[in-house]
Amino acid sequence: MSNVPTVPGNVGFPQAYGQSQSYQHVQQFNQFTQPPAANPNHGSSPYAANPFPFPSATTSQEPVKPSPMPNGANSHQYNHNSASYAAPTSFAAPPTISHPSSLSSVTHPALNGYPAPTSHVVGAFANSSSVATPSATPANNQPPIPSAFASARPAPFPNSQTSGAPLQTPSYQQQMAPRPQAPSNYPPGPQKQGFPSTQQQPAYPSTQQTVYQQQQPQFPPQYGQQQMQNLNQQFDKMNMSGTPGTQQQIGGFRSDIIDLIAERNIQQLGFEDIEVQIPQQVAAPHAHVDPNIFRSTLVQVPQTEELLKKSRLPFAITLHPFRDVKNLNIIQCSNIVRCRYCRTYINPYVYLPDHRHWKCNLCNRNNDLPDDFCWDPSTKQFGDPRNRPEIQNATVEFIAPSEYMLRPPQPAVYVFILDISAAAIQSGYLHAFSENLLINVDQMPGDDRAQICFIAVDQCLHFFSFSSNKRYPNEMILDDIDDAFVPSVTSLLVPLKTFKDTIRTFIKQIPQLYSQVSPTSNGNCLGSALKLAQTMIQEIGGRISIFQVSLPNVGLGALKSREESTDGGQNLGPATDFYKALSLECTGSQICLDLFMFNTQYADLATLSEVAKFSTGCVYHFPNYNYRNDIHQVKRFERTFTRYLTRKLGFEAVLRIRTSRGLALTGFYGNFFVRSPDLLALANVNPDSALAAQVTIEEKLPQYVCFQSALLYTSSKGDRRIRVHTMCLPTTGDLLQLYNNFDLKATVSYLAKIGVERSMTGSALADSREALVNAVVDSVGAYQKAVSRGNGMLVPRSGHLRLFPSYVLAMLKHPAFSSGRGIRLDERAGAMLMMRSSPLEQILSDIYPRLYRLNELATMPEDQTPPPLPLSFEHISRGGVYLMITGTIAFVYVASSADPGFLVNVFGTSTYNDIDEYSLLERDNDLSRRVHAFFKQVTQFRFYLGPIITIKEHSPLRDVFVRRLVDDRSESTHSYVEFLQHLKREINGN
Amino acid sequence: MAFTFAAFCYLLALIAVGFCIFFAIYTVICIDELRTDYKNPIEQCRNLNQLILPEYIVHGTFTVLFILSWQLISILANLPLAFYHIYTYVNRPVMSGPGIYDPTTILNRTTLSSTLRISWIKLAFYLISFFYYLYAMIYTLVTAN
Repeated sequence: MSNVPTVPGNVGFPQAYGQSQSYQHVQQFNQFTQPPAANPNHGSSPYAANPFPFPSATTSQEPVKPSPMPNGANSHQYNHNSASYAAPTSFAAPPTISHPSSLSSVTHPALNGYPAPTSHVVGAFANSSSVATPSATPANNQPPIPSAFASARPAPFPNSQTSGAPLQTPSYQQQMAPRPQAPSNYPPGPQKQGFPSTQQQPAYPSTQQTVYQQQQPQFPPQYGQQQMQNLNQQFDKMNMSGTPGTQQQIGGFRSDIIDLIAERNIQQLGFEDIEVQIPQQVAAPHAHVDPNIFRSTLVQVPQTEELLKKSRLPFAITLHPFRDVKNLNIIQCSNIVRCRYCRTYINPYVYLPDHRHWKCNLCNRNNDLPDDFCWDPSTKQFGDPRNRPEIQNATVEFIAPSEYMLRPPQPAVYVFILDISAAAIQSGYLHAFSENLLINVDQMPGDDRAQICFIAVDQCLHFFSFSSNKRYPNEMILDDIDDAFVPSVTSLLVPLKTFKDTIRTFIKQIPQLYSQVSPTSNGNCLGSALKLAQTMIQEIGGRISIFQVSLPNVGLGALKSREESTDGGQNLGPATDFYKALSLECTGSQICLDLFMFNTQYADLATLSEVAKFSTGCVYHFPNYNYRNDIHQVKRFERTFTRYLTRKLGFEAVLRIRTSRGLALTGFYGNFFVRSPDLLALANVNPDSALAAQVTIEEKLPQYVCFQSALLYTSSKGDRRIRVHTMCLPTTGDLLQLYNNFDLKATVSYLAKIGVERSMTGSALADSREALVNAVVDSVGAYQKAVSRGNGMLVPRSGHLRLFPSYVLAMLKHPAFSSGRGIRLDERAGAMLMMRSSPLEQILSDIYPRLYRLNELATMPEDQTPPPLPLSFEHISRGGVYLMITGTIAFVYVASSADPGFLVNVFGTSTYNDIDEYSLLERDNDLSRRVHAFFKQVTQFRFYLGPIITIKEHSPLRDVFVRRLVDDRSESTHSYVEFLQHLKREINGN
Repeated sequence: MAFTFAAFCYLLALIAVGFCIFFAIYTVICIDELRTDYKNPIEQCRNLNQLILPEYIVHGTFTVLFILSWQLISILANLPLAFYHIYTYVNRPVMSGPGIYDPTTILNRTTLSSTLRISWIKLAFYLISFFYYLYAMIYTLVTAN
């Protein structure tokens, strides 16, 4: 007992937490102050900053993917640990792990952390553990006795020990949805006794309802007002899976099948995420991955390929691997528990038969659990391994030991390539660029080693050489662009910290420096500049940000305008492979290329974007940017650029997606380089990029399947980290269940990405459009066959199939896929590129914008917000004020006879005519505050969104708004009802 | 027995098809390595692309020789493959160097498996034609007078 108070923080857990101070434990695992059952998403604290000290940058020759590590390798781990981590003084209790005697006793590593261990190993363990964990029995030296740990467990042990019992079918678990009248917090007792394990005869229990209320995915706040609809929907889901005799009619809906043609407002049924029902026998069935991070098009996976084919639904996953996460669990340990065979990271969905073993949920093989895994960092006691953060959370981040490094973590390196040709000077983007860079240059991620470089391009290359004894950098101009060389790396690429003042002065000066057209302004030699920038930083890696206004027409990779092609081609593919080859080289040297395009004239975005595609870059398109005329684009650029500069950044990353046996990922869609069939190389990883992957079923699947993505990256602080997301999905053998669990959000994102990929690699745009229509015809048609009823357009009420036609129609009208001739090539390419790299929220809101009636706020109770409306002009009344949120911009539409009272409060004028684009300011009254609170709520975390534009019914911008009402017909496109009729004909014709 | 032009063509084709067999085996090995090992697709594609044009030229040459010596069976067997070669080369992805394999798409599982299948089929075709040419060469040598 006497040992403990002296070293409270680090007692007993040297391997995992040895390096951090005791107070960091709390921060590291702050969610553990909550009950372990709580969903981490519930937390409201802001994103936890990295509390960790800089680890010693030990270079190791070991590969990124360490070789399978048998048990015996533990000793190696400890050795390694002692070598690299013993030195820091932050060890409150220096572990004795380097002691030879403890190395010999590999099975008792946990004792090592105890100060002053007695000479007898086992005795020391028993002694100290009785001090630290009086209630828990150490399992190390005896056969596992699960019951002994019962007291240490906060929640009753789920019935995972009785795996022989019939497993619950996932479909029943839909009844776990919250019900208003149900008592809260039922214990998660054994489920659904007596229900058969086939899904053919579903029924459901009425007893346990709200156990999972806590684990419900948190809907974004704007969904709050739809609680009731949501409930109705949930109940209908029950009805769907229930036998007719047991149907409950609670929400007022009579039928579980809707006829789309008869349904007027398909949006009113809501578009909530379908809850994933995770089988109970996994280690932590309450752990759910954030659906915005990891999502499947089928929330219940068909057990066989035949079933999937029969359903004709697309099967794919979408992944947003580096999304900003609240309450991220950061775990620092020298021994990351992974499957010995398939290298899966331990996760909530493994099977824990006892405290010494775990069964991998991806390859189904048994592994040993290291002893220190029983240490619970929240209670500082040995106990149930289920309490570990790795088991409790579907998203965790490990601080990787040095085996995961191929080289010392790289510093942050930023290169800015600025177009200063005549077109660029005219657009004036340098003003906003310099202004925002100046504000954010200190917020850019990176430690003291961060470096920066500026290159300007017109017909010549302009370099800026910084030196410590001058206030301004020297401008060096190279006119030999075909055979250019780097003048001197050391003065061009300079440490940000040392030259902070010079760099600031320089950034401030850039717009003045290039405000006049010079004799060399006619050309743009971007290709040569990129080549030089690449050679300059290829030893380190980093990020090259390209700012372009004109078409690169001289030097390497010169392009010709092909907007007016006569051969009828669509020219969405690349014109040359120069940029692709460059991009591949950059990926190899961990350089990411991002492209900001401000063009007014054609600038061949389709070809230039190849630089970003394979180097994990982003493309931001600001068409017709002009600093004098187009305040919206300027604002949008400022916002995007600020986010771009300040967002988190991971360098030299690789992403591996593992799947359960029987599943395979067959195609990846997004911006990255596929390095091997399941490994994606990402030169940089940013929190605003997502990807989609197609999944195929290769053999019959067990009761549940898992996907695990592991992103290994170097953080801007210079440590190596692994972010692991695991998703668990139940499987089903019931065809109708597939339709009830069809997730349209993932599907739209996937279809958009695959359509873009195809169109940009040479397929005709018409093929992509046809594929979109076929996707909906196939799936809805197959559903008609499955229910074999009538010849209407029947869809299940639960699931998202009912919204599929509406979204496909919207996609067909989106500039990326629209067949209209009015869309300029770069505009189309820009829309496509946005979809290729964006996460699904942005894709969804750009395809089918959200429309709210703002003036409802005046009459609504405080806690309610307006529901989203269908995008049809019939829902736009003459007296309304509307808010529309698209993927890039938000509009407020004021109808001509809007309520003057509302206008006074919100716009500060009661006359419609006095309202202009800028009169929407926050004013000092309740209504205005509420309106702005609502704006904040619906635009939260949407960094890509530009400013809110006010459009009056009679303003010229009205067209922009009306064009977004995609359910209405236009000259060349169907209305929603016509489209349904068209689909119906197609389905019945087949 | 005389050493006719046809026999000469077969002799040359025999040697040429030996090279083709080597190319096909190499392709199969490389693609399989891509699938199972963690080979760098950029380097692997560079290696493969170097061999594409030689293979097409070798195959095209002895197809032309067969046409000149009017060996009907051999022409019928080889013309489809020659057209297939022309077709793939015309429709290859945009790239500056020679070759048809694109490192950015080769690891797409469907592309990978179809490429592998094609190289197996080609290997089988070259092997069969090797023995056929051997037989045909001896046959022409024996029957010609």
